[in-house]
Amino acid sequence: MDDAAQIIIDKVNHTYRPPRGRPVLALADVSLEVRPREFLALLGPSGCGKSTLLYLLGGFLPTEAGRILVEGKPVAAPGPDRGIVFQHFALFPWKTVRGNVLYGLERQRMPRSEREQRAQAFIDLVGLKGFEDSYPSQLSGGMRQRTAIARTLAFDPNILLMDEPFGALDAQTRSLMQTELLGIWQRTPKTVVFVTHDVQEAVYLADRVAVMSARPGRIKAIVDTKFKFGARDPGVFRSKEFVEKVDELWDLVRVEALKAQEEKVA
Amino acid sequence: MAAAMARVDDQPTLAAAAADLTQAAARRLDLVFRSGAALLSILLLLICWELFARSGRVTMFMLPPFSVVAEQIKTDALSGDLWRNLGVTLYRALAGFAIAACIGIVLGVSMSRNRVVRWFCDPIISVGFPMPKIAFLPVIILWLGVYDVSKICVVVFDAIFPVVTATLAGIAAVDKELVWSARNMGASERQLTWQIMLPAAAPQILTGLQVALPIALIVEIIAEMVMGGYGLGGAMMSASRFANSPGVFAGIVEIAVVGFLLIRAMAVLRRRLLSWHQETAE
Amino acid sequence: MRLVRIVFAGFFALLLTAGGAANADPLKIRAGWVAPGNWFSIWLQKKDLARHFGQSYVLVPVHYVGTPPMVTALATNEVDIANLAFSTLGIAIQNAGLNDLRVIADEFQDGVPGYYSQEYMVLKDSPIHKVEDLKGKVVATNAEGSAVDVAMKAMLHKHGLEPNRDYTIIEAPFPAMRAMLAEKKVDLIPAVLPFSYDPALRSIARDLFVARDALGITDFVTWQARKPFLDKNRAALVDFMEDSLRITRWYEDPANHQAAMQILGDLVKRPPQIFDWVFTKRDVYHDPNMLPNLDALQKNVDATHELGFTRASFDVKQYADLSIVQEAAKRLQ
Repeated sequence: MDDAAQIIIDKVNHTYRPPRGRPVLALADVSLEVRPREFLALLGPSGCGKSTLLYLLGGFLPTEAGRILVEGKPVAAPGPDRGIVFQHFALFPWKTVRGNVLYGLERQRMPRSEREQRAQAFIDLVGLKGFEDSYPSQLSGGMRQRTAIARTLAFDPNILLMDEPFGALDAQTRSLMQTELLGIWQRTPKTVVFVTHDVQEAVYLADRVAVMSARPGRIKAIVDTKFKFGARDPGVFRSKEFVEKVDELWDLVRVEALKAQEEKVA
Repeated sequence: MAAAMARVDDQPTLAAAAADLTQAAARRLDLVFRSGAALLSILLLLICWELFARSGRVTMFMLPPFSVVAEQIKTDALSGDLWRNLGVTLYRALAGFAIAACIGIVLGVSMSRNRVVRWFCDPIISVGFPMPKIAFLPVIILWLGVYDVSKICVVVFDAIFPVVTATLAGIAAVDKELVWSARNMGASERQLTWQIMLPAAAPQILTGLQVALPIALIVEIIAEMVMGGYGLGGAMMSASRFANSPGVFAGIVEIAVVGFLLIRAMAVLRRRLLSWHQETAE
Repeated sequence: MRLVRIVFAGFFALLLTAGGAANADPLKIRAGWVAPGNWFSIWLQKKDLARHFGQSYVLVPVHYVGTPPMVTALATNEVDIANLAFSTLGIAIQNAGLNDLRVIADEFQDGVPGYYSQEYMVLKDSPIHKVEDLKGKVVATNAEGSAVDVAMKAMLHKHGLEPNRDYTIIEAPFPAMRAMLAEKKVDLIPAVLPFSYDPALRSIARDLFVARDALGITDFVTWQARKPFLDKNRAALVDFMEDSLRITRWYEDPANHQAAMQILGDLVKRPPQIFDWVFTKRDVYHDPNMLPNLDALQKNVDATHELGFTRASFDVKQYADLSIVQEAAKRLQ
């Protein structure tokens, strides 16, 4: 085991028990380590349990078998050390952008002026200056996700858990947001666990990509995607190295996606 | 306009803004037309009423003309009877409604958040909801007398059920991710309940309140009709006892107007409270 | 409007066929009653005495929950004989526009010497000993403008007390009166038959006054019908009234007391013993010839008007047609 690991996932199993119907094994014997300030993508076909793994990490679901350690301590409950961003933003619709960003800060002992200052700083960071008093329903999808990211970053978690955060956005916005996320990540370095089923997105964003198998989810492969060059400008998409990585991962994922589809048909 | 602008990431073009403006104007025109049409149908109804009542096919006792009824309302208004009865009815209906709203929301929230409370209250709600609570009136009179308390009590009993069930349904429908987000940010169970669940369920709770309000008015008026005394229902009952048809019909018209205004007021309140909600942001 | 016309056409057609059929079939008399013990509530139980029943007429008693729906039914010709109290007569004639209403027979009279009179009771230990003591008190009534209410207000009026100014009135149904008094929610209650003979009431309450003190003899409830109905069906109605006299006399016969108690007990599904007073001197007065006391009725109607419950008084003789009941009584002599 790597002593430097910030997150240790050790032989985790998880069974999903629907209210009606029979229990389904969602995760089987998953082991994974994430280093501090690493950007790790969990890649896999839909239904492979990658989101479940993220929820276990967040402490939203109880760990039943195996163990999950974050900074050496087992995960028991949700906590502000692990901030989550959901695909559908999960903003409080009755609060303005500012109110949403402030909510996490209000839960911490922090003087009011500092809270407001900090909230404003993160609203500015995600480029929402001028929309502080807008309600989520008045914002576009991209702006909503920016708000959600600002809200999570504002309470300063060490680890960022992102559950297909750009999955609900249109292609252009998604591409913009990906670049922007990298910029933010570089400015406020954090450990990121990023769930996606988009191979390009995983290669583009992550240092390492953990490929998961179709249900029950296992770690099938871990692929290093840290490129030699540092600047991740959109031009990277056309580079040979990038294309090769994408192809390599596609091959791994395709098999699983087909399996997942067959299972659905059956 | 601010809302419309904010919905697109890019700056709206001038043409788009102009299109927005014409649309808004069209909407307003449409609104005027629709509310006008609503008034027109009521006006038509009143004219038909007047003509039919004066046609000689019915006696004054069976159906007094609207003009006579209006005259009766005017007389009652000038003598102060109308305002006293209206005040009494509104006071009891709204007091009962307010109590039902407070208790109903607190009960609904407690039931959603506490298994013991739910276990205890769920069967009572299921059995109590379809019961005609007004049938308990004689018992309630015995226990609480014939004054305001007993009437308000019946109103509360009847109006509380839609509030509780709407609160339960609203909280049950709160997005799991919303709750997780709040927990993630360190919200305690109590904060989760009052700061997240309640506002998130507000649209459905308000729907429950919108159902409960006319019930409160209806039950109050029925209680007055059964128990007598002051109030619009009581006045209607006395009028009926004295075969005073204009008085009976005046009561019907007054109750219709009051009910209509209350429902409109509630809709306005909803729009105010849910200004953040999609349904009103459009 | 066309629909309305069709509906009305159908309605009139129905009336015509009903009228045409009446010549051949026995006259159907729909008779309204409100309180158990009213003649129409126990009439059919003794129809074995009714010689013309099924021949010239049939009786269909109809129960009404109160006077207002009975007035409405009179206005819409859905009831043929009503039994309104004196206080409602003026309302039916003036407000409901029933100018053709006629008093045709007597149901019962209150305050006839030697017979029962409605009681108005206070708690035994109440500080109220005379009517004047009611100033500032709460007084229960069954319904404003009812005969019971008129008698009570007439009494208070006699002693200088006016409603709302000098005392508070609240309405309550008769069965709830005892509890209201026992719990001191009110200071005075009207006690009417059969509730006034409830031992639980008599053990806690005493009379402050009776209706006789207020109005003397009251022709409390009479029978009424509309003139066109009377004119058209006079012969059958005399037959009906003759049978009615036979039946009411049977009930009033002391020899049938036990049987009468049983009939009433069955009617309200209670032990017959609670009706031990019925048709005795402890009961209100039932005239053996069912002849209304028009002089008393005139006074009652005037009192109702004086208390402001009717717009004007009227001459009851013009609204009475006693020829049918008189002719029927003559047949039985």
